[in-house]
Amino acid sequence: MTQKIRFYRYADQSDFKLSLSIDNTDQLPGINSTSNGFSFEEKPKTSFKINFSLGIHSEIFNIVTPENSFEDENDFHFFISYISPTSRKRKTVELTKSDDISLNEIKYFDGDILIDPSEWFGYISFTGFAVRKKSRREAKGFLTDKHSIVGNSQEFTIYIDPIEKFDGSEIEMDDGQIPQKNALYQLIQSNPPKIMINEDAPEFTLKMLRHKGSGDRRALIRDTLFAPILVDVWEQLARAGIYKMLPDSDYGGEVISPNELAKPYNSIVLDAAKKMYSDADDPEQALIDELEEDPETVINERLHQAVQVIGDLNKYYEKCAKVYWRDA
Amino acid sequence: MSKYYERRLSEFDIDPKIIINKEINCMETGAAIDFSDFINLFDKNKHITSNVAKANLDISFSEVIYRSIKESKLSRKFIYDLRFWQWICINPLKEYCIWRWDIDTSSNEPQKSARFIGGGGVTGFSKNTISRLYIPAELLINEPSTEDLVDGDSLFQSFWSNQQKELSICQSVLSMNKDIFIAAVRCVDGLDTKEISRLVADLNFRSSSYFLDAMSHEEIYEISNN
Repeated sequence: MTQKIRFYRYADQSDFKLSLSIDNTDQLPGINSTSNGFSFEEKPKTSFKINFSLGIHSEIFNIVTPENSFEDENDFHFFISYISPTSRKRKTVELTKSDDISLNEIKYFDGDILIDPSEWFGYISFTGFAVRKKSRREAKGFLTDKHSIVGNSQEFTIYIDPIEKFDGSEIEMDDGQIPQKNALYQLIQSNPPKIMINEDAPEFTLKMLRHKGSGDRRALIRDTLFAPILVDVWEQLARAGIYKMLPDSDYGGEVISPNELAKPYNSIVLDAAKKMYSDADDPEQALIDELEEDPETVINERLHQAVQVIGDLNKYYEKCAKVYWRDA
Repeated sequence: MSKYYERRLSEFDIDPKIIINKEINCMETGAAIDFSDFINLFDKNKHITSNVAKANLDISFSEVIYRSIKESKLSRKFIYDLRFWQWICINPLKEYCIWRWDIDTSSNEPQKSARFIGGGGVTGFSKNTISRLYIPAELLINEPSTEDLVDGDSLFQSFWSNQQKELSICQSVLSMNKDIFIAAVRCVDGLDTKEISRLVADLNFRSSSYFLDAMSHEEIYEISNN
């Protein structure tokens, strides 16, 4: 997994605590928590206010200020940057020092914005920044120019449009002709995705795959043999989604967020990211970071293992193996 | 009346013949955009087959669509609503979109649906054929000219002088900020295709140490040229 390496002093992210709250929630649709923010259950119809509170540990000023100098919160601006690529909006709000008296080393900065949901789509990401107000004398290893960023908070996301989850059970299955002679199935990339079983496949293979029963030995074998097909389907869908995230070659574009993909790719890629970067605080960002640096590793090495976890391959194999290999 | 789709279309909603394959309602924007100037300009030029010649006409189409939409008094809320741009591309200006990208609608191969529906994020507005033309005009056409441009007399002309500028600048999330957009257009003036990509990547890199969003385009231009 990639990690941003900086060759200058930069405040630790743990010294920035960004919190958001939404006013008048009783007049808005339900709001659910997500791993990094909120998601509305349906798109709000009325404007709403978002309040920000950015807590900054005073220790950061010692870290980002050259030796033998003194700086405090008055030497910095504190901003919230809010970005929504699907709404083509990128804005900032400057925070002001909170009137609340702080009894510890945390300084609080507040602000708010009004969101008209008719102008916003998808999601909005919020990040808090501390930015130098004035240039100061250059010092090696320190960012001393006016407008230099000396630290930032973690990203917080509000989904204005609810996240469209894709459930594997939505995958459709049918028999029909497929282009490759003697192949067993074809994945049709659609919403929902469809697995087309070759109607010319061998007789008993078709009988097995068409078997509707459950809880018997035939169902057990069918599920076991079908599990790798599902793993392959997950991989094909995730791979297609990941390719859609990559910039057009040579255009100097950027890797887009999986949240910007259409259903079903968005939730399939997010699921894969959670499996591939299960140790990361923000698996989605970890995926974007690695795709920026080394997409081949993601696509050719990580993904095929992650989809085995999503497809519960071990579970299906073990269920079958324990029946036939228990006494072996 | 000009319209927008009830929901944002995805690649699965449009078939290779650029026909919507599901029942999707259209809603009124409340404005009547007169596309006749755009269609007249297209009619005069639709005999052109060379991709370079088509690209050279982008500036004219960009200015015409900007003027038509501005005169219609369309609510600002639709300017960054992809559903509106999807409706334009699939309805009144579909023939132009097909011509601009040489789309073979008789083929059953997957088509360049992104040129009609856009796509994810900021890239989607750059891929949608008409928002791709409109947005640079809205951001640049009324900006005062700077003295040192070599790719044209105005920022707008400079921007459209090389297709790579549109690709590199508009597909960057930084370009959603008007000042950064203007600074980027100034910075890439006079550069060749490779240098344009490199400079936009460099600007992107600088955004991790400078808070560009709070800077004027003059300030951004200055640090990018240091």
